[in-house]
Amino acid sequence: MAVLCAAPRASGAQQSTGAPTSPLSAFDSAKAEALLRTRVPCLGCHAIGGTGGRSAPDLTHVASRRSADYIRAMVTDPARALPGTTMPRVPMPASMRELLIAYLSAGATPGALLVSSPRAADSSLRTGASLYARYCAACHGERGTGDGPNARYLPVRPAMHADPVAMSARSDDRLFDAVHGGGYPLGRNAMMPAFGETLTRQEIWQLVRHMRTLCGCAGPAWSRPAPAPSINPTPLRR
Amino acid sequence: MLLVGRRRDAGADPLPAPIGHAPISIVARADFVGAARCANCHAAEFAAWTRSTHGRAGGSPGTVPLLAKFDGRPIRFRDALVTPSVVAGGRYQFVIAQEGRAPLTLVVDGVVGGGHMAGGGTQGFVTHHPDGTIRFLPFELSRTPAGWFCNTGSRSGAGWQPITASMPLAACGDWPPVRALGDVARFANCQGCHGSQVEVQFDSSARRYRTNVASLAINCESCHGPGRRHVELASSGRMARSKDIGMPPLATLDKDASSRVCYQCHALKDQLQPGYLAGDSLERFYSLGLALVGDRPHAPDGRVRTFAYQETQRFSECYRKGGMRCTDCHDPHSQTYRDVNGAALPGRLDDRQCTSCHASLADRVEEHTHHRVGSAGSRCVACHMPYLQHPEVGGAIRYARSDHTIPIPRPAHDSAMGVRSACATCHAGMSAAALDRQVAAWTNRPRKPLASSVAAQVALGTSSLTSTSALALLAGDDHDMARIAALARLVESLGAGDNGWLDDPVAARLVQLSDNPHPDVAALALAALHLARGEQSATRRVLARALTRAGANDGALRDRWGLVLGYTGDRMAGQRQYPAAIAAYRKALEIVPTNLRVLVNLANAKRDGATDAADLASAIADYRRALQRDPAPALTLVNLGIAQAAAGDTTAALASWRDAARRDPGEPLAPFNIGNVALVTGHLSEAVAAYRMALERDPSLVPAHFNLTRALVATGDNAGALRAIRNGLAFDSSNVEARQMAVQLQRMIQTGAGATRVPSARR
Repeated sequence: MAVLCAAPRASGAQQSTGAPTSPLSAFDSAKAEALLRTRVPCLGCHAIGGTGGRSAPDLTHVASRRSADYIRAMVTDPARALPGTTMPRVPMPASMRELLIAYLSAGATPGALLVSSPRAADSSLRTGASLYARYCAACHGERGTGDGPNARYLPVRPAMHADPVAMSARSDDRLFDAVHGGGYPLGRNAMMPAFGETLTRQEIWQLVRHMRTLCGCAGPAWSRPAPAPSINPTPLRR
Repeated sequence: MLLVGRRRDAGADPLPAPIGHAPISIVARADFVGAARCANCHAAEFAAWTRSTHGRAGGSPGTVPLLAKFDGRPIRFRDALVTPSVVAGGRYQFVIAQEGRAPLTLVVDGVVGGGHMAGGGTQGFVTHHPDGTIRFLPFELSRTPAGWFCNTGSRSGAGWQPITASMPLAACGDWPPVRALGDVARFANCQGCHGSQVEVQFDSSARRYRTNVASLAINCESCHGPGRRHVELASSGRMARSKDIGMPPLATLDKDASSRVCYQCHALKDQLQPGYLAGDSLERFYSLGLALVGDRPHAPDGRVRTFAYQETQRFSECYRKGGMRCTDCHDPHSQTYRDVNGAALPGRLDDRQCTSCHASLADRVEEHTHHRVGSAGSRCVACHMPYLQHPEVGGAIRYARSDHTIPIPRPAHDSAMGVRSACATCHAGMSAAALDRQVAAWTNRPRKPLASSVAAQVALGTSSLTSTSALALLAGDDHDMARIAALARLVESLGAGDNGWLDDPVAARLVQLSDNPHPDVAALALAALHLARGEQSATRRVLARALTRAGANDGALRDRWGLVLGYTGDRMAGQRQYPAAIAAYRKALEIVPTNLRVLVNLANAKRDGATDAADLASAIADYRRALQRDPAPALTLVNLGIAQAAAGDTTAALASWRDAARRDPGEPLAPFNIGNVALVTGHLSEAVAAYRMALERDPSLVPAHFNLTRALVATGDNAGALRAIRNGLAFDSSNVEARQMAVQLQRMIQTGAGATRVPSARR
């Protein structure tokens, strides 16, 4: 991948209130870029320097458009900073989050956070289909064919949830885990975000059930819920 | 397909020569700065490290907490009292007292281990040996049971045993001390893992080994690599402007590169090249797969069968089908536990190590575990990472590692693999069949199948290979370790002409695998083809293409390929199948033409299998070729001398052995062989002196004890002969002839009778 963006600007920008944004070393900038490429999902939706998805605002010059506090708030808890956003909160070590915030906000004016509202409370009413349309379809396609409008900007084709062959080999738990934890912990592409800190567990199971309707298939036999025991198990003894 | 046709070509086409390589080591000892330099800027990481098991892995005896007091209370053997004590100046030592011998004092120069392992920690001690190596002492401490033990593996094969008053000192395999720190081909060794920046080289001018160890703890640079450039950049103020901080950032490595940092020590590995230091390419210096050739450290599913490390995680689905790396669960600075997103966890039993990835299971624990939530049996690691006692160690000393293959409990399968299933850890009274019925009743559905390549190995068991089973072993899913194990099995059946299974379809599959990105897989496939069909033009074209394809990076492939062929030669020679051994060694030299070890082993095979003078002359010529480049030639000179003696040139043989003794005063085989010539030519006092010199260098050289017995009997010193044969029997009590001789000598001494026949030397 080419260099992701121009190096963070020098720290000579006028500061207003709050802590000034400190410049990152060249190494820290390079490390942040490496993490953006391989560890965190930001570039799945956002582009930086021409690389990345197009389903969310371009971050190349985000520091010139947004205050440092806004950037911090969005990276830390997007739903709180911008109620109604589809951007998930990404789990990561605190030091990594600080590095990415510093990288994205280098040169930004501190400024006060403008928006602070409680999280939207209607999520439990949403169906699997509507959740899929809202959070998944941009990449995976409305019908799970892996060709959503954002897909062509991604380095690998998003999973095709409508493919019964591939989906029959994946357990429901695996689908849940992928939505919950994102691509990184499962060894898949890190641009698939984790929704475990954004959606409820019930919502994620709704998404899994919807994916099963898209493929018209079930997971492998070993992964399906067990029918009632056919014999009386002997109580285990220590 | 390329390999059809069986034409044997009279003149084999030469394979491409190695491409000139730059030096493979990019690290020098002077590049390391020591942990203290890191503390200035990285105080938090340094503080965490000092409390960690790496930070407390070893050190000098006054600074490392000891698991036993050196208070003068002796360790009692049947034939020795070993007294650990602290003497004036704070020196820690063992004094070994044996009847008829002067007490021997061994200074404790270092302590290795602190008993940190949850599955049974141990602590060992090292001392500077006169030859310049640093060697482990045989007396070690265990936590469970608490006390002294020693490793009897190389003597009685009983594993690790508590030291008792009925045990002779020589029951300890490390008596006399033979395990050296660092990679020393001549000795059993611990590679570079019981210390930091461990280097051992034979210094031909000083005629002894030179050992450097930065620390017996595992320090910062053991993982991060050398810090000199980093410190220079930081000190110069250029760091802020440089993307290069003088060392690689470990946090952004992919899962394999990240795991290799840990596999420097937490893995079985075979040395390809000497001289590795942290920061060098691990893959260039070591193979992490070829330890499976000629050995079965793992069951087919990866679980420890003899002795292994946490490299077994490469068999796990979490690694193979997920992204699991060591640092997902282990904080590298503190060695405490954390989840995949870096959140600290309170301990090794915490479920979040698993549920931070397997989140689907977090809210239906009981449904998944069939154990009450919160109970010991409901913990993820209780079923999926049970502690497995290492079988090679035996059962007397607790030494178990958490199973990093992260299996699903399959009690019947586990039992068939020789592994205690996780279920049996708690439900010890139930049979494997009963446990398996219980699991079946719970799941009541098809169970998750084993990986197909593992299943093929299980199905084959110990049966002989056929074309069908060979293809099954090589087919299947993308499981590198199972594939390496399968290829190792195939290679092991080659070399002795047992190639019936290697028909064209199998050969075609081997050709496919010869292009595998895993260097061990490719090397094994190429070695198999080379061994089985290396005389055929079509095969040679495949071999040549592989070498050409590797280009300037052919060294890593060649070293692995040569290692497999060399191993095959060793195995054939061990079975006295010398023509097959010679063929394998010659093929190895086609691939690694400058490998001295292979060249010397080729000469040994020619010598030991010689049927005429020409064979011996050829062997002698090979030894001389090796000596032109051998930096530590004593052993090669010993072997040359044996060939010269076999050819009838005793004068030349003696000159070679004297030369060996001069170049390495610590080499016992030089005086031993000089003694043999003296014995057969009737120069008895010279023989006695030579054998005693050999035994001073290696008291466990059993043939020297027995030959000394012969020499002493011939001189009429029956009492000395009796002592000598008893000393030999202490190390080899199974020698029936020697036992009878000892009885006879005893009787002769009592009755004042004359000499008798003595047992011949056994090498």
